[in-house]
Amino acid sequence: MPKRLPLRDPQGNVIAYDDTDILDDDILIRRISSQHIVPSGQPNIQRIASMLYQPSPGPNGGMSIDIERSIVDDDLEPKTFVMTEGILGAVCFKAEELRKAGFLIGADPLPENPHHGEVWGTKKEEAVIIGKFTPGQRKKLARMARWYIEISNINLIS
Amino acid sequence: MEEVVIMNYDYIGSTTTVSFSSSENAESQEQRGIDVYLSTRLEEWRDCVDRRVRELLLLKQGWDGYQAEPVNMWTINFALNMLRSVCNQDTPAPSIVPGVKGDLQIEWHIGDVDLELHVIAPNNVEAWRETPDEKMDDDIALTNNFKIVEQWIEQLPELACAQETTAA
Repeated sequence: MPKRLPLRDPQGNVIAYDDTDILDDDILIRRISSQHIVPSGQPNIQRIASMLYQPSPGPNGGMSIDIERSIVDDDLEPKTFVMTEGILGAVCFKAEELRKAGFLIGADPLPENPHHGEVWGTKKEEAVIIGKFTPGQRKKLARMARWYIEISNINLIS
Repeated sequence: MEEVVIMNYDYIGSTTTVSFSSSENAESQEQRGIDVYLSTRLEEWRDCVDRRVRELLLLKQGWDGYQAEPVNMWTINFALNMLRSVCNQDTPAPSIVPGVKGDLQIEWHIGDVDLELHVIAPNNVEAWRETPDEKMDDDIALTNNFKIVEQWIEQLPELACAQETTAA
């Protein structure tokens, strides 16, 4: 997979863009930390906190993901790669579904994670990329998410 | 001193035990029992939140597997002050979830009722609630007036009871 160097703002944040090197069939992985697990309100069942589906606040703030194909192209096993310290599991999205829902997806390689990418939301009325997902966008992400590395007794959707 | 055990102060399965002198009148016993029960509930609530805050303060850079920052102390402080102003002794203890930029979210999930307060920074809060009868399209931006949050929280036990009645 080509390693694109995205443009950055003066604060070093990637300027949101839609990366055509990320194909519609590509799988994007989102790691779940133990910090993202909360009571569901139902006995003996926990759930994923909506904060898992929040971007970094502020302009150009995006939601971090790992690009599966990029990991595989480096001869690494994705399910091992994403299970770092404090990570209990992961969900994934299909790039095509995210784009249809109005999100932008772009590679954002980091020194410690060259397979890192971001998902950005857009507010249609303003056509401006903002570091926030509306409640509707968060719910869409929660509905689109599928288990990549399942955590038992956790509800994926509330 | 004769001891009497009160076991009827039961809240979601927890029991408060109070000892009384046999010379104490019934009215005084009841009032003292209520006072102890309420302060115990508040202490349990505070302990729960305190424990969680201590965990959050120990989070290191990259806690989410990516580039998440530790939770900002000023943000935690503001969030705790906000909780003190909007919660009462009947409020269930909330979950507190860190964000990636030093922010955090305080949330309650009771049945089909969701209430989320995203504390982005001091004086910068986004509040959202969903009930079976109300679906909000956007968050409400708040700075330091949390009247609406206080009202939502007051309604939590009532909404939870209404759900249990419907389900029964």
